[in-house]
Formats: sequence, C-alpha cells, structure tokens
Amino acid sequence: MSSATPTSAPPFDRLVKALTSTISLKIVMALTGLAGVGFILFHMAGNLQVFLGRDAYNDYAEFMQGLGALKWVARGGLLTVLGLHVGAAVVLIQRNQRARPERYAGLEQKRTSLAAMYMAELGMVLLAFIVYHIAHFTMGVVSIEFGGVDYYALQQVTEESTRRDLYAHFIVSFQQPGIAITYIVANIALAAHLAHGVTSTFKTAGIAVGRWKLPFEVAGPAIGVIVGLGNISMPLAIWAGFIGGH
Amino acid sequence: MDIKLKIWRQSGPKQAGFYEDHRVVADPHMSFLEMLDVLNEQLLEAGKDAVAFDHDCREGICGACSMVINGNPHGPRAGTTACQLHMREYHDGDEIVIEPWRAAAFPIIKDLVVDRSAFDRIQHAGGYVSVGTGSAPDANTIPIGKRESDEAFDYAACIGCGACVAACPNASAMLFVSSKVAHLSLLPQGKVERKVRVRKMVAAMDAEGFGGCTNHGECSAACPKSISVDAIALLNREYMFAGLARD
Repeated sequence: MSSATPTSAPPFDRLVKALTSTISLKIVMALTGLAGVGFILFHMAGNLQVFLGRDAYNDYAEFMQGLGALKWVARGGLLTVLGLHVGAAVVLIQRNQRARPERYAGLEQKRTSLAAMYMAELGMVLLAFIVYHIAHFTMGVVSIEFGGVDYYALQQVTEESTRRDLYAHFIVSFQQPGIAITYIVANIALAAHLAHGVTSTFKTAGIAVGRWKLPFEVAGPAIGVIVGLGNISMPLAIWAGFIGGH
Repeated sequence: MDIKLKIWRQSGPKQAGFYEDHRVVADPHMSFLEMLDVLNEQLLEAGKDAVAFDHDCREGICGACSMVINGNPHGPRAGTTACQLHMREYHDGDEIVIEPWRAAAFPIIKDLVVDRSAFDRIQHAGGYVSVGTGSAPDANTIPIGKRESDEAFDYAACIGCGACVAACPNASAMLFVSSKVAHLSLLPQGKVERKVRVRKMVAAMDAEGFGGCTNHGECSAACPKSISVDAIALLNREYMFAGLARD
C-alpha cells in the first residue's frame, strides 16, 4: 500500500475525541444539569417543610440523616454530577474564549438574555454558594454559633427521643440579615441560571424544536421562577418572623 | 447625504489593526457596497490604499460580502446581506462603524476580508452526497414529503457567509454546520451517509477552533437567510444518534 493510505486513529483516541467534542460536552452539561435540577427541586420540597413546624422538619431531617450508606451514595453521585458539570463548562468556556480572541468595537445582541450572557459568572456564584451552604448546614463549620449557643450541636429533646434540632439552626440562621441576604442573592443567581440552563438542556437534547420549542422555552424561566420563589420564601418568612417567631 | 465612517484597517494577517475615520457623500439609493466603492475611489484618487472588502454577486446569494456594520453582521436589516443593504437606511450625518468578522477560525487577510476556508474544510469533511446519483432524475420519481422538502430547502438556503459565527458571542459555527447536516439528512439521497457525515463535520468544526453553541440565538438573528436555530437542535440530535458509528 502507498503511504497515502489514510490510517484510522487508534480506537481509544477516537473514543476520547468523540467524548470531548463540543456537542458531547454540551450533552454532558445537559444531562448533569438535568440531574442537578432534579436534586434542586427535591431539596426545595424537603426544605419547604420548615413551614410545617419544628417536629415535621426535624422528622424529615432525621429520616434523611438516617439513610446511612444511601446518603453517601447520593452525596457521591451529586459531587460527581457537579464535578462533570463544572469540568465540562470549564473546557467549553475556554474553547469559546479562544474562538474569539479579538473583541468587537461593539456587537449588538438581539435575541439573547442577560442570564444567557452571564451563565459562567452565575455558575461561579453558585459554586461559591454551594461551598458556603455545605460548610453552613452540612458540615457545621461556619454560621453555627449565635448568642453563645452552638446550634449545629443543639438537640431537640422529645418524650421518645433526643435528636438534632436542625429546625432551630435553620430558623436562627435566617434571622441574621447577612445570612438571609446571602441565600436570597444566591437563589436569584440560581433562578437565572436555571432560566437559561433548563431551556438550553432541551435544545441540546434536540427536543426543543417545532411545536415543542415554545413549551421548552417557557419551561426554563418557569422552573427558575418556581425554584427562586420557593427557596427565597424561607429566609423571607423567617426574617419577617412569619415562621419561627418568638 | 454626508456619512462618517469608522473602518477597521489592517494591512495584513500579522499586522496590527486600527480604526480609520473617513467621510463619504452618498446617495440614499446606493447600496452599502456602492457607498464603499465611492470611498475607495476617493482613496485611490488621493493615492491611498483602498479598503479591502469581500464581494461578488451583489444580489444577496453568493455569501461573499461579510462585514459587521454598527455591531450587526450584514447590517441592521433582518434577512439581508450587506450588499442588499441600502444607504436609505441611514440619515445624513450618521456615523457607521465597519469591522470584519471576528473569530480565530476566520483570520483577517486584509482590512474587512477574512479567510473563511475553514467553512470549506468543514464542507469537505462530509457536507456532500457521495452515492452515484447519475444525471438529474425526473421530477417526483423519489417521493419526498412536502414538510421534509420545505424544511430541507430552508436549511439549504445557507450561503456560507459566516454571519452566524460573527454574531455568536462564542464565535460558534454550529448554525452553519447544522444547516448543512440538517438539509442533507432530511433528503433520501443524503440519508445514506448521515451518521458518518455528522461525526466528520462536527470533528472538522472543532478542529477549526470555532466555539460552541450556548443557545443565545444571535446566529439566527444575524443570518441573511433567516435560518432557524432549530437547525442546531437537529444537529445535536443527529450527532447523538450517530453515536460512535464507524467510518
């Protein structure tokens, strides 16, 4: 055979190339994003039980804490999903930046939204917030001591049992304006991120076309608003003294 | 009408560029490119270098003209190429900023002229039908649904001008690639190679250094043929179904 015969790349190289193509990474963004949205909705539904009072909330918290191995599998899964989402985003953003090294004097934007233009920045805000949120409620290393009381270690003593009083930590945290504002700002960022992200997911999946285009274009902002309002309702209600008031 | 121009000048691919101010007296009936012709006559008479810009058919179908006019690829009119833009869109005393397409994959050759051969290489990678189709068949020998033929025709309207890349905040070429992939995969002659085609064209697109789609829709707004962003969703779907099909 002549040397001009094209040689196919080794199978492993081809696999890596196929998995790291722009569209493959977009699919990774979409799938991990969708998993994230599922978790966010579940997380919100769980937390909204704070409106049902101390016992209901602590029952739920005790159940979740008692899942044992399953809890760690879920945590590992969520961390993997987040890692893939952030990792794919970093690669895609770097490619996008390299694709336009020289800026325009001005480029008029006609169709895009603010949320779409600032997805990466919103993502960075959310990443920083996730670190704080886990340090706050999950690990109990920040924002746990108020008025000399360690609320992370606080116990609820009932007739049947003694268990952690997460409700008290929840309430007292959001009674602090600084913490409440941090959570409200983070959830506005989350709402904007979801507004563009959810719709984008279905466009990447190739579903949001034709007569399905409009419903999916509405779905993103709708889920963003639902999650934003649902999550913000908690610090606002506590701050206003509507729940957990003395 | 007296028009102030601020035009990107760059004497070669490696030279630094800058904006240069000019004044032109234009007639409202002139096309935008004719206004630039007048400017170039002035420059040549003064012994200066004419502004280099791409143009060919000047009737909106070849895809050669390519300039960002006041932040809009092909200018302010929707579904219109720069050559079909007329000076009646502007008013006496207006200032117009003219820049080239800006993308790493479209290096500037001179002034407003960019090298768009990256599009040719993507097209060569798979944007064709290689089955022996013989001479043109008689009409209606291969039945094609009205909806499919209309859709394929809409995507086939792409003239490869690169306005989608120019308008995209990520300099992504996905509207171009998706138009080619969608148009060919919708028709029976193109269906045979659809899996290999989409994989090869996407690989070629990535190799050229274009960015990725983040669903802004700016490409479609700038497209002189008003091709819908739905094409990109179809491309994603084609790519997923193609999976890891062998060459």
